[in-house]
Amino acid sequence: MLIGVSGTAGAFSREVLREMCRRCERPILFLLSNTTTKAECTAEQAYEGTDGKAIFASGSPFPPLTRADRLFVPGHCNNMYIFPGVGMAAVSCGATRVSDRMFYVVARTPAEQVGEDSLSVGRLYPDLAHIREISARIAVAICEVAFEEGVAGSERPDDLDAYIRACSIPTMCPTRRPDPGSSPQGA
Amino acid sequence: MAQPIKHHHLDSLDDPVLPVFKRGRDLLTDPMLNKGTGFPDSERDALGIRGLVSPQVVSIDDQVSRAMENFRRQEHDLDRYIFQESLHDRNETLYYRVLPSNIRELTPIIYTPTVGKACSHFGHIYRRARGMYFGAAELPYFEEMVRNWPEEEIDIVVVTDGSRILGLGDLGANGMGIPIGKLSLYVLGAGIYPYRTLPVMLDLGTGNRALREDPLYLGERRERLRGEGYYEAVDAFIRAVHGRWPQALIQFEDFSNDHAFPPPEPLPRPHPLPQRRHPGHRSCRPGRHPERHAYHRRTARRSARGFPGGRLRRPRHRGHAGRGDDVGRGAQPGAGQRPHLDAGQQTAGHPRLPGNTRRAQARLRPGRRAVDRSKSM
Repeated sequence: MLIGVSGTAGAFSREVLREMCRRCERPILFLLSNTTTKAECTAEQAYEGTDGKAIFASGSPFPPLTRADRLFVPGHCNNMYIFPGVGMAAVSCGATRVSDRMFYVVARTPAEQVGEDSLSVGRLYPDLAHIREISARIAVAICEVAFEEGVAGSERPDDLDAYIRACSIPTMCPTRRPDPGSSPQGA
Repeated sequence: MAQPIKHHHLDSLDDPVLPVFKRGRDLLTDPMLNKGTGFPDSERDALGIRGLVSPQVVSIDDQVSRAMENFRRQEHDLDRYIFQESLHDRNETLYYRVLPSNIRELTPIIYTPTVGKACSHFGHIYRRARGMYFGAAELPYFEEMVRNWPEEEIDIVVVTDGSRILGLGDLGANGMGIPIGKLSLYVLGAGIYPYRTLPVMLDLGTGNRALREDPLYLGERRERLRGEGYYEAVDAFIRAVHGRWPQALIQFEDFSNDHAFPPPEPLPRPHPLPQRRHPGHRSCRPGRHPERHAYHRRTARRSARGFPGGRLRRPRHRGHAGRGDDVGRGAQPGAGQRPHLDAGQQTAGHPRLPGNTRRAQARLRPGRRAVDRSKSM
């Protein structure tokens, strides 16, 4: 497994990828240097250099690609799967601290949302289209930790899940109504 | 059981209704409240919008189609970013409707990797002020400045000092694109209310010489603050934000490693809420801090005229960055000075406020938000 945090494009050369392939069945490549111009190699180079065996994810997303009629969807390994849920949790339960343990607890949450359909195209992270669902689950898990650690600023609601969902913006656009207290052409 | 408090201004989540103070063009130019051609007939009549937008009421889905058609006409990613952020500054209702339905296409634009390119060119593609800037030269005034923000409640603040933007290094005040993008994702990802978010640039200079010499650079043209002065500034910023919004979550983003690791000293708890000093308070009398004296006299006067807390609700007069003011303070030459806090200027030449007392009084009624804003998807 190679984790790239060097910010040096081209650091994972063809030789490096070949050597990875020689030593293991499925080389894991996590390229966390942002943006795509700083990634240690491109998704294309990774798949080509490993004959399509690489399990690939990058901090900045690479577009899907097709090689020999096979679809590869590069994973997007980014904190954006986590931080909106963390923020929502902290805000909704009024947490006074965001602890390291909260992050350990939720690190697995996105993984639980990865289905067979994702794995079959080599994707380790869930589809972004489910981000609201992922964030809601993360927020629930973090609120649980906050109540446990006693850093929450509010009482624990009976139905935490429903509470979190009620704290987020409605999917329906609100009707704008003149405030009864303001003048008819006040502005 | 705790009650959800985040939508207190909405009647219900199933049929949300948002009371608004603004009317007519003021409503259309407020990105938080604007729906553009999407205002239905009933709202056009009730809010004085009829005739100010084309007669056809356009459904949100059609608005999304139009926005995406225009988005896809852009040739380069940077143009796509400019288009999308212009929509952000024009009509947030639509912006946050376009995002979820085209999430895979749009997140690489408003977030990494394109936001990196946008930050590299921030001063050159700048359109409109968003969020707040705290400059090293304004250090003594952070607590006053934070009161210029028009929203009463903030849930999440994302702040950067621009010292390590993505993998691109020190981009100084150009780093503002990062807090803006992060907060868009907070709204998109978790449903945080957009008007309860605040992107912040803590502009403590830049070590990027090319930027400092760029005439269109928007930040302070000085070397980075280091050592004690740096932590002093960060501390002052936290105190200012914590003083006004004690509940807000502050996320530090893209700080360079030398400053990212030593944790800021915990604030004393409970943190006393700052008291607005009475204009007769000895610290406000002339002689000690003439410029502060002027500031407090001004806020006191405004307070008396019906501006809650004496906050600066009309920053335009001073050319100070604020919502709706295209001339960001950082955009002016000589940004290192403090033009808006010059004592003589303010006591002598301060323009009178318009005598819109009914609206001002409406703002003051107890238990009511000054200007109710919200938007949702």
